[in-house]
Amino acid sequence: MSGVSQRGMEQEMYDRMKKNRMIWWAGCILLAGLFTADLMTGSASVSPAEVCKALFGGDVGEQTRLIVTEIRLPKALTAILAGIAVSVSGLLMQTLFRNPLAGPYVLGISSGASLGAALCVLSASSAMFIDDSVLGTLGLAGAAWLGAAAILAVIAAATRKIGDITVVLILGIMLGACLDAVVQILQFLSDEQSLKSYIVWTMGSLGNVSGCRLGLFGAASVFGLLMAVCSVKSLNLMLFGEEYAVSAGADVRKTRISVFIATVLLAGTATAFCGPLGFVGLAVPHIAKIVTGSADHRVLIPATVLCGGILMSACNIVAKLSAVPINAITSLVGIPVVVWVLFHHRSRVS
Amino acid sequence: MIHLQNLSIGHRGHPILSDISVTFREGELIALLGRNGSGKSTLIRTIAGLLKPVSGKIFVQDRDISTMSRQEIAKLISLSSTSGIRVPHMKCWEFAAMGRAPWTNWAGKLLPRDERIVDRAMDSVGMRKYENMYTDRISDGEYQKMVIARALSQDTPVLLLDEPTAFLDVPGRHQIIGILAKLAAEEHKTIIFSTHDTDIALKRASKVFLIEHQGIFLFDASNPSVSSEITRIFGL
Repeated sequence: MSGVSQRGMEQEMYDRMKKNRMIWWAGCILLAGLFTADLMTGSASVSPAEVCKALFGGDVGEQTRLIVTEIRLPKALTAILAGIAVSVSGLLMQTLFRNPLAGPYVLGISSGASLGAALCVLSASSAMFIDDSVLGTLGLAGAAWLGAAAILAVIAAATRKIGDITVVLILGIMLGACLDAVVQILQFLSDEQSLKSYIVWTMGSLGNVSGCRLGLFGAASVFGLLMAVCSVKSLNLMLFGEEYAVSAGADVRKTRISVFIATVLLAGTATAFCGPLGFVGLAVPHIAKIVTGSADHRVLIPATVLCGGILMSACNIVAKLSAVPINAITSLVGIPVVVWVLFHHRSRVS
Repeated sequence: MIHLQNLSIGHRGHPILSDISVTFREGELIALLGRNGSGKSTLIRTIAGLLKPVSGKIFVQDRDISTMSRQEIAKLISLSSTSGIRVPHMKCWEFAAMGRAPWTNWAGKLLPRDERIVDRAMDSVGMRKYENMYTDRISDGEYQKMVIARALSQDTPVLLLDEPTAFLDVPGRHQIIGILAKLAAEEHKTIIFSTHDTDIALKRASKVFLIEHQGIFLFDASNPSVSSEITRIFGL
């Protein structure tokens, strides 16, 4: 009898493992498909076969090759990178602050990065940031990192002092609003030329990331992701609060610093180069949690990476087809998820 | 075995309890009694190494914990505190497996040995059949058993529990303290728990540790004068 139930359990586990593996494969295929679709979409139509030839050096017209590799490829890669960076930073924030509604946007970290970038774009000669110079790239990214780090430091200090997570969240929202007001004043005082380049940036454009910027974005994202991956064990323990994590042997201070740096690199760089990307950072980790049905960061980090890439690729395609700024699309997609989370958590708590 | 040597505890150098010197042995279930704010939680958190003692030393199995790393302490002492927050999307078995943290590698990979220990912990609290249930979908009593299972997975000789019977109904409280008594007797753990349930504590614990007006008293639970002391302290 027990042998039968044992076999039944093993069968059940095997089925579940197979199902899990299928979800991962489906996600990877979906991402690859959307990436290809992203390269196909635009004012000039390019067939999938031509995309492959342009990417892997087949026989294809020079103009098509240029459109695919020089214009669409950087944009498609930026979409995926931005989706990954913002989403993973959101996941880290949600765990660190033990709040399902935390995210770089809600906590004001995006606003901090925006202010840094705005000071850079509006104060310096705007021509410097339109071209793709190493100095301009580093300046913009560095300014955003500083802005994001400053806000994160304030939020982290407040968390330690106050302890009440709801208060910290409200503080983050207020800080964000305050910084946005400062940015508005800067806009009001700045000249026409730099204002225009700033407005375009705030709309969340993926178009002006190429070459040097794409390289820096990629490097910062990989580094941030690595820091997150190295902290998986502590992150899992911190789901139960810092006190439990310490009592279970985790080095909480080290984890906090890792998460801090990872968030600044991920959210800061994404905001610097693509503008504030709506509710992606808040929504995607929840999508990953629902799809995988797991709270384990060893599952959630890769799942968030996949979901973030998929969502932003899809948003990018929709934005291109409808000629609407991508920020509007990400908010339209993200807000229903946020509303759903609010209702879901209410029902689970009560 | 835990030995507290001239221990003074408190926050930021202000002692709330001074000069405690006691020894808790293997297989003892110690009930920590005292009024709210008397220092029960502070004592538990100090022994767990989360708070620095104001002065004095804590020895666990003859090793001074102030000289040990966090991970080494975590292999000797587990802490379970009452926290109402439940993590969504986490299954009971995964929850219990969290306790393996001090014994696993950087990614927390469970080896077959770790899995066996988690299975055994689930069995000890009678929650094996719940292993695939989500922890935010079980009752408070079942969740408290899971908290104990997680502490058992940590495989420490000393277990500290801060108010394990809070939020439970009367049968639930008896069940939880019953599990703790069994663990102390059969697995020779040293278990210290704080509680406001004096009746259950007297019935099941082997020792009672009373905190009153910055003084402490340690009794055998079988000592007949304990209940009169409790009555006096709580002013009943």
